[in-house]
Amino acid sequence: MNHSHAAPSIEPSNCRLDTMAPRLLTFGSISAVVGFVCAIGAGIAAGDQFTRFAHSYLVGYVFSLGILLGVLLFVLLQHLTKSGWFSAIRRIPEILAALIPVWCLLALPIVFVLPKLDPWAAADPGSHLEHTGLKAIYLQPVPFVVRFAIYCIIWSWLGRIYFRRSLDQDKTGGIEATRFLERLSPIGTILWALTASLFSFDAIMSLDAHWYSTMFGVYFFSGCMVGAMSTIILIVWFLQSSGHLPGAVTKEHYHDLGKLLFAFTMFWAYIAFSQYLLIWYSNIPEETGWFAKRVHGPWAGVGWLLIFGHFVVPYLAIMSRHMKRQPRLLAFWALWQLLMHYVDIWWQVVPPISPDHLSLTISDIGCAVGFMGCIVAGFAIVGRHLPLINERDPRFMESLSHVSP
Amino acid sequence: MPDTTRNASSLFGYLAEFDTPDDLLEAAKSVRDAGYRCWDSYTPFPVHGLDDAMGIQRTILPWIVTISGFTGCVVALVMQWWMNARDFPYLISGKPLWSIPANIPIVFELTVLFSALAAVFGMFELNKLPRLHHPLFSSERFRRATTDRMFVVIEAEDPLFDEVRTRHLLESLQPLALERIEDKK
Repeated sequence: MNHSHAAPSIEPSNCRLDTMAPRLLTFGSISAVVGFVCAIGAGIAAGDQFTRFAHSYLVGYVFSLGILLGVLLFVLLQHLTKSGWFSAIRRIPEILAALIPVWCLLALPIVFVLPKLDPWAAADPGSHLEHTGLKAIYLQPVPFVVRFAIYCIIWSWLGRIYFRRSLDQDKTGGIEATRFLERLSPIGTILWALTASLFSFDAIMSLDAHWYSTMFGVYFFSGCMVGAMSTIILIVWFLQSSGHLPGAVTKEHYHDLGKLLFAFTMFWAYIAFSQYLLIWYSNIPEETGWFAKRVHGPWAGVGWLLIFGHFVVPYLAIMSRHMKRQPRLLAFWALWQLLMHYVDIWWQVVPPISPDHLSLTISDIGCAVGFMGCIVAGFAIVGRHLPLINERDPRFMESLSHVSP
Repeated sequence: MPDTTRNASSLFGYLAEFDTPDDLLEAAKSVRDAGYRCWDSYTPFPVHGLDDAMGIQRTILPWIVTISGFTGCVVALVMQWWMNARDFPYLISGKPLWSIPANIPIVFELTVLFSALAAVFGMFELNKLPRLHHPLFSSERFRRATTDRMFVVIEAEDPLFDEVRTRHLLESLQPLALERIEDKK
């Protein structure tokens, strides 16, 4: 819209991974292999029939899948709002969201270790946990796997279609792809909300099957978005500082990404506290049990770490306009929030099996490194031959001259 | 008689009319570079880059809002401590008399309220609002500022303002029209 800003000159051939791709692939693959081998080694050494390893794997899986899901929703939301600024960076979240099918395969180990995770999935049904009614039907291995398969199909389909249509647009350059994806986005967003909420119930809330919180799906969503915005900022910053996105991404884009990171940091705290406050206030045993394990004893420290490390400190830091417009500083806080997001998931999953002491094991770290390695390697494989900008997006010029208010 | 009308009105400034945002931005840059401080641009819609072209500094409004929000936060905490724990201790469902979790909703609300009020009234103050009349309203031409024309006005109170030189500067920008605005007291 703005004629006064001369669009920076973009040479699409510079906006490719090229020589970076093999290096990223090597780095990601080695991280993944070393991470998972260490994690499995630690799992064997623990001698608990992989119970602790199962939890480590779940933490890493939910952490990494949550990031990709958040990225998928980010793509959907940009189409839903017909956003113009997004065009210059859209290829990066599209590539990430296209990795979701791999995570469907990475879910298979969870199916095998399900009895180690969830008492309701253990061999003798109903022995020490009596669930009645719908809960008894819902919390069984077969329905669990079927639901999981449905989520995977929906997410993979959404992730791939937004990726494919964007690639098509590179060749055809028409407005049809944009129109189609915009029309699909409300449906995709609704599907996302339903499946991601149910996924959070299945993957995390069901670990403590007597506990329930109707807010848990939103809590999961808010964390995912913090993780997703952090990941996108880190990748954009890395690619640009290594010279792979020359000109296309400006401080204005960092500013907007930073605003979204800031907003979702706030939103996470709002939702996390809302969930806590209602349970604390009503003080009903079946609800407070979940928090009792986490706010008393050794895990209380992690709770404080989340309050200050995942909210107060980054909230005050990212509030500053200056901070959001300095890519290097913003990348630092993105990395910080990514680590804190991991702590959040870890704090949700691990306390029940280790109520008396903080338990951060080699298998935890190994799985986290392994899954993040998978993201890096996957990004390199998918993005290897692609232009990292979608220059035939009808809104591309608008995005180049975007000014963040 | 003519003398009284002449005394009642004084020079407010010069109004220059432009057709497109690009012309306006070029004009704004020239006026900025000439060193004027008491001048303004008027457009029917937001023109991106105009702040830079005019050399306007960042507003201090965010600081006003931040400080007010923090004040609201502290006020809420102290208020609840005073009311429920100090002045009139009242036990509610076995919770501590001063318990932070129960205070947070009020802390949140007062932080938002103070911030919002500071943002609105701070904006009013910084923009010198409310203002019931402006000398520019006397210009017929200026009415198109709300439809399709852009204007630059250099005000007479600017230290650099000089009836001849300012007029020359604006003429050199090739406006569609140049008008002398009187401030009718």
